[in-house]
Amino acid sequence: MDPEELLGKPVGRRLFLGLLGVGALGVATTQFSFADDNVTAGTVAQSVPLDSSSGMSEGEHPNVVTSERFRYYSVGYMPYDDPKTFRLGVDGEGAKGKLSLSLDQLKAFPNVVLKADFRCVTGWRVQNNLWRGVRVRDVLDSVGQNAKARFVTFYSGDGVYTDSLTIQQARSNNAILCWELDGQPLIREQGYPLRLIYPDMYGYKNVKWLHRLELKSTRDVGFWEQEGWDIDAYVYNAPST
Amino acid sequence: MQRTAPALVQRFTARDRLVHWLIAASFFALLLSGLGLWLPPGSNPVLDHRDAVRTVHLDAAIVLIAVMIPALSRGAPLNALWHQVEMFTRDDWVWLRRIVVPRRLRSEPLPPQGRFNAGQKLNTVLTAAALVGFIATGAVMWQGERLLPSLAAAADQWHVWLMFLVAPLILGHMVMALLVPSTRPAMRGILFGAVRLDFARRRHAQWADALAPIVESESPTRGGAA
Repeated sequence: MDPEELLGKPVGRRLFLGLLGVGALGVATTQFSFADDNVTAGTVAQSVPLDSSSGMSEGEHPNVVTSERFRYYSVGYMPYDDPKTFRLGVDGEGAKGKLSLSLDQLKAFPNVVLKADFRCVTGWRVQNNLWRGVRVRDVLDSVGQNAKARFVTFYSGDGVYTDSLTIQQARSNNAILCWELDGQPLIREQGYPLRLIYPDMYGYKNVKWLHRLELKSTRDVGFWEQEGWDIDAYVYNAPST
Repeated sequence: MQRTAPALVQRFTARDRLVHWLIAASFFALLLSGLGLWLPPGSNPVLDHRDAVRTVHLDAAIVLIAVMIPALSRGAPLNALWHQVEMFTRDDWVWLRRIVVPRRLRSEPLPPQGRFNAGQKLNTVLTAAALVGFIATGAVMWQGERLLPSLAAAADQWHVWLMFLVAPLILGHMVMALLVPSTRPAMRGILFGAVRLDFARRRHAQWADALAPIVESESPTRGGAA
């Protein structure tokens, strides 16, 4: 009898190597369907007219549910602020003064609407959100900065969660204090009445239930960064500093 | 009357068994921690311990790699075993064609099989390919921040698909080993090394006929094999 007939053929090896080839080809091909993820600093968000509409019906609003729905995280209890008594504090060693802004005072700053995807570091995303708010830069200019202002720490109203940006990041066109998503107020789970939106970085940098901005000369390490997550959580290749 | 201990034949060496159980343990650590990383809030019991779960997942992956590389590399002691898995004979193809026909409707018996039947061979090859796929896509996800985001997202997607592909293979393997009465005696082999000779003759006749049996004490004897 032919020895090969007796011992068989190494079909398993061929199948094994073939499957690895198919898998590698599959990953290489599948990545084209995620091409939208390859954003840059220039394309991660864009300012759009204030009356821009997402075109979604009421039932499709991400506050309710979408196919790409938001998933809501909180590390403690979810604060609730009465919009009539809400105040945003702006102070710190890097500030020339102090501010305590009501929502109406905040909304009086020049409004912007940013069209941008929201990306969570855990892998999910929600595309083409319209975030309305005011630029952090305008609020910082209102209180005035001194030479010690190198970082901004953002404090959540839950008393636990904080995160920080460099002064350059906080002053970028894409860093806004936001109260509205796709034409509707933020819901409580999403940081009502006010949150930071900075689409250049993953969601955990976008502090919810904002209560205070502190201008500092040293950097505070944020909640998740103390657990090992990147302090500069860019969704694209981090720019060289 | 003194009861005679059943004749046994050696099926797996201590090294074979160690590799099997290390892969099994790391696989289940990876599966459970992977679910903890993948499940959304609301249905996720370990969301608050995400960092610890991630550490477990990466450490278990290191164990899996540390076992698989020496086990599969050329010249490794497990090569003889892998050779038996990868070789498909004409009987194997016949066995695969006939096994899909329900036993009552089968007009011809299953051909005798070697140390591993064709289903076990196929399952092992598919699972091994999936494990290498897990390692490769996992490595891309792990270093995703340094790579193209679209490549990391594609690897993430395939990592999840692989989980759904490999779960039936592992489930089938466990059902055959733990629940099906006719194949359950094989469990003894992966736990203690030897299986009953009557089981080996029934399920793996080609292999059993070429072996000398050993008694319960696992000391070699002669004359048991036909």
